[in-house]
Amino acid sequence: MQKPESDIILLAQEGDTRAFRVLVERYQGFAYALAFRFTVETGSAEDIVQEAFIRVWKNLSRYRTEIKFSTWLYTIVTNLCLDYLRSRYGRNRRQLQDVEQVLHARSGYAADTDLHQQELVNAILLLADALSARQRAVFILRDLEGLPVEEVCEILSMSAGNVKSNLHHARSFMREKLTQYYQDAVKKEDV
Amino acid sequence: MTCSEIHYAVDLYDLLDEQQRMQFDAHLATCASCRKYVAQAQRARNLVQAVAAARPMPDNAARLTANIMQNVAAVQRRQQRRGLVRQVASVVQLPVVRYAYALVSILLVAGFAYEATRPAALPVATGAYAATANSATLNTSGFLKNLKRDTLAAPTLLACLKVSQMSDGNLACRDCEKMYAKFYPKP
Repeated sequence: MQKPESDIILLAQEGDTRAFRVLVERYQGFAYALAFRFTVETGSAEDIVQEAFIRVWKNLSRYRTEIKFSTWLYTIVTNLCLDYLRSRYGRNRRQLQDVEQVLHARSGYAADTDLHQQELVNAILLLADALSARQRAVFILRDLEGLPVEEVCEILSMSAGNVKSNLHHARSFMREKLTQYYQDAVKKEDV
Repeated sequence: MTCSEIHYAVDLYDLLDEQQRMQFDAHLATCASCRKYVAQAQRARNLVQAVAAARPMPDNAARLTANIMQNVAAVQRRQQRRGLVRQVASVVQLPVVRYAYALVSILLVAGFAYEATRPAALPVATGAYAATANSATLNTSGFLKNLKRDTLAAPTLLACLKVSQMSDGNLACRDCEKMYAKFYPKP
């Protein structure tokens, strides 16, 4: 029978590495997905996940059970991702990726269902690169990770109004770019 | 709701409350251009939802777990070492140990102070003359013999005079008296 999560966390807090391994195995997929959606790089995403779990281990004694473990982990991963985007390497990488180039490069594919899933994923993640760090974080957490607004507020330490405002900007930007992308693809198909 | 409000609210439809949604839907039922606008927006939303459904996974999850646990083990070893140092530090910081430190320090300072203020011991001549000089001429053979045997025990003129003066106020030593008279004749 599987132990309840609170028991596993308690054991890990007492220094039980086997219990901590259970937590790692349970949550590393979520952490990786979030990190990859921020960085769009396998290596950087794995580095961030490793660093996040080390921080979790170091600060496990401070963890309060009032908040969900996943929320706490998401907060750590998100902060690391935002640090990465602010870093020199992250900034340099962003400058190399021109959103328009990405759109034109992908317009050879048919829209919507005909699109290769992987290409669509890359296109959207690279489009999200053009958003500000906060807009991007809100978009990823709410629309790609599917977290409730309250949790997004907690992770980013933002008010609900602030989250909504950033989400509106991000979604309208993505809508405009994807609509343009979709229309270009349809026109090419017609030709 | 107006058309511009619909254009704004279309991106936040999931966050609208029940009443706002009813207003939104009611407007769409009567406005063809807004329906077209919303349909376009819905296509974009579908693309985003398709991306959300495709969850990226690490290339090798087992290797990632192993790396994480390896790093955690290294951190744990460091934490244990630090814990040991902290334990020693906590013992050292006990009040009893602190008072002991203070007491030892005070004793050391007092010891040094006593040593510094204690009068230095005068040099004491030891041993005896092997032979006394018969004249004012220094009997160097006896002196050198003594000097060779024990340099510390060899008497000096100054020490000899001092000892004689200290005993009765006069020069008791015959040889020294003669020598003294030769060097310092009475006026």
